[in-house]
Amino acid sequence: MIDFGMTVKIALRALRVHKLRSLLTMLGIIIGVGAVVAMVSVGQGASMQITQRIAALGSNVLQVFPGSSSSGGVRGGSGSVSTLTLEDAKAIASACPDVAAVAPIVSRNAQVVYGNQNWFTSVTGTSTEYLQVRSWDIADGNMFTDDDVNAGTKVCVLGQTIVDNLFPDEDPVGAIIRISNAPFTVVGVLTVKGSDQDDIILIPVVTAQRRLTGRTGVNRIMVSAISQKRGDAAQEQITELLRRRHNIRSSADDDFSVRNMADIASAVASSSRVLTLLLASIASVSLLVGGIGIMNIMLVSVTERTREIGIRMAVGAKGRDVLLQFLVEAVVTSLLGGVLGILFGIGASQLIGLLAKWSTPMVPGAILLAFGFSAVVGVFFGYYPARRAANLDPIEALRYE
Amino acid sequence: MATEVILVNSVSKTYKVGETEVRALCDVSIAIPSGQFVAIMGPSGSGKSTFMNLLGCLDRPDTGSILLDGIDIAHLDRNERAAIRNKKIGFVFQNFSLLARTPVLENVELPLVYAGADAGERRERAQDALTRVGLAGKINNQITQLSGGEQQRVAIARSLVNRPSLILADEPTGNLDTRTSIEIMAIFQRLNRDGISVVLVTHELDIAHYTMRTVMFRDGRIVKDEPVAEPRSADEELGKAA
Repeated sequence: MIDFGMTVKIALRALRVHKLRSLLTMLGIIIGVGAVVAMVSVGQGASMQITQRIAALGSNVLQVFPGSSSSGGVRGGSGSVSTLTLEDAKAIASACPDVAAVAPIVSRNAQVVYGNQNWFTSVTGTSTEYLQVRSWDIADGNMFTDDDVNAGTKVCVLGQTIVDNLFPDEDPVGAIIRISNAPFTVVGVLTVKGSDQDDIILIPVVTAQRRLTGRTGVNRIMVSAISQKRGDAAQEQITELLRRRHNIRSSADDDFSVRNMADIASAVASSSRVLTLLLASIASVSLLVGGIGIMNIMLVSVTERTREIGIRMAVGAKGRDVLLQFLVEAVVTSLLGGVLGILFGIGASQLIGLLAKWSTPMVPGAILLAFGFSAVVGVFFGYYPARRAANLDPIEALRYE
Repeated sequence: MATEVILVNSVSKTYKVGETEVRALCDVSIAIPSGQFVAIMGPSGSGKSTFMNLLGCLDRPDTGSILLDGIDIAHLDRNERAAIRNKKIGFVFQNFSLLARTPVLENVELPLVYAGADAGERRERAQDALTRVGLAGKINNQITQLSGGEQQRVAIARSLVNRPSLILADEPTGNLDTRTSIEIMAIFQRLNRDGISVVLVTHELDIAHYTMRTVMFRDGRIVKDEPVAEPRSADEELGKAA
């Protein structure tokens, strides 16, 4: 019985003899494993990115969007008319027991100017409860008051990005900035939230309706449920309330839609999981193709080395010695390919991460799986050629030219 | 205990080539005493290759028995035959049958690898065998750097390394020039004097004269089996030439 170290040595020598051929054979596995590792890593990064963004909005947050209008059988698209009003928002706040806070949103992009600095940003008209809904805080100064909201005063609260751009070295609280040419007094500054959510200016919702949109409706209503668990209950209460307020008959569709952030988060998470799985399975097809490449080359190699097999058998190699030799050769090929493929995959995913500016975490499970899979591919696709070598008749093999 | 290294008793072997049956060997019996140097001769198709394959444990007879060192090898399975080849038999072929791209020493070590010997023992015994064929200085060469005669000597060293009871040489001088052939025969004679039995297939009467006994095959039977009247000494022949 031949010892294992010797078998590996023989396999490595055989691979060295045909360097280019071995490398090309490995390339199938390298690309396969690399693709699996990179795809899983990028997929994970993407889903982490999405989940983070959603989590930043708050997992107990519901959003009410205006729906499509329907007038005389002509239906507009989603959001074609503002079916939501400030009164809807107030009603939700007072009538739904599972709702903790309500923030109507009227938003529009506008140019803001302070001194010789200017910046184009999203101006959001909302209520004082916005901070509670978004679980956000004031870093400096104060939030505007309910009186400000009701009276439509021209005050604003700045996100950190605005402060950085308009007030590079000045305290913004108390300053007057111009939003779409109207002067607003800065009353407060928001804490840093990150992910570029800080590029925002908050103003009272009534002020926004008067100064920015000129319409009475609101773009959407953000609602926070009293807890994540009560999110579904809050959703039902809101739906029921709004249907009643909008006089929608029981047979008709809603003219608004309520979206639960937790639902959206889990839907997005599961769809990105499906996507990752899809990418990984497409990538593993290339691993399969790589395996077939190994089988092909091993078959060629067995035929080419029939004489060698005959010699080995003549001096006493048993069938299983020959089997093991060729199997080890196939597995060494695929494992070397696997290791190179992992390095290649890590490199590729880092590069993609760098370009896409999201983190592409190494998934040890995926790496182990890809490596193990490449070993299995080696054994599976190496077995048949090895078996063929082991079953050669020594007399025929010795005579083979 | 048998003093015969080979005891063949009414062995027959038939091959099927397509539809037709070819009787390669027909009721062959022969005894080869231990320590003998035998030349097997005969035209192609006479059954001598089949006979060698049977002696070499590469094939099995249809009927009859073959005792190698007292062991019946006619009914062994593939793995058992591989083990017998590994322990009892050394092969030397016409085309040397060495592993190219493998150093000389590792070629000689090959039977020991399959015998499961450890690296130290393998090296020691392979060096020893190479010394016996006069190649001690070339253990680290590649096969391709050697001449034909040197390659055949590596093959003989490989056949020796497992200390076999029997060396089977299939036209070992067929690819060599006259002088190199005699050198190879000198090595076989030396090994034979040291007590190893050698069975050698050859076409050439000249080569057969260096053995002790000639066995002639024709049409699957032994038609002549006689001692060599005046065995030549290859060493003397080489001395004369020089």
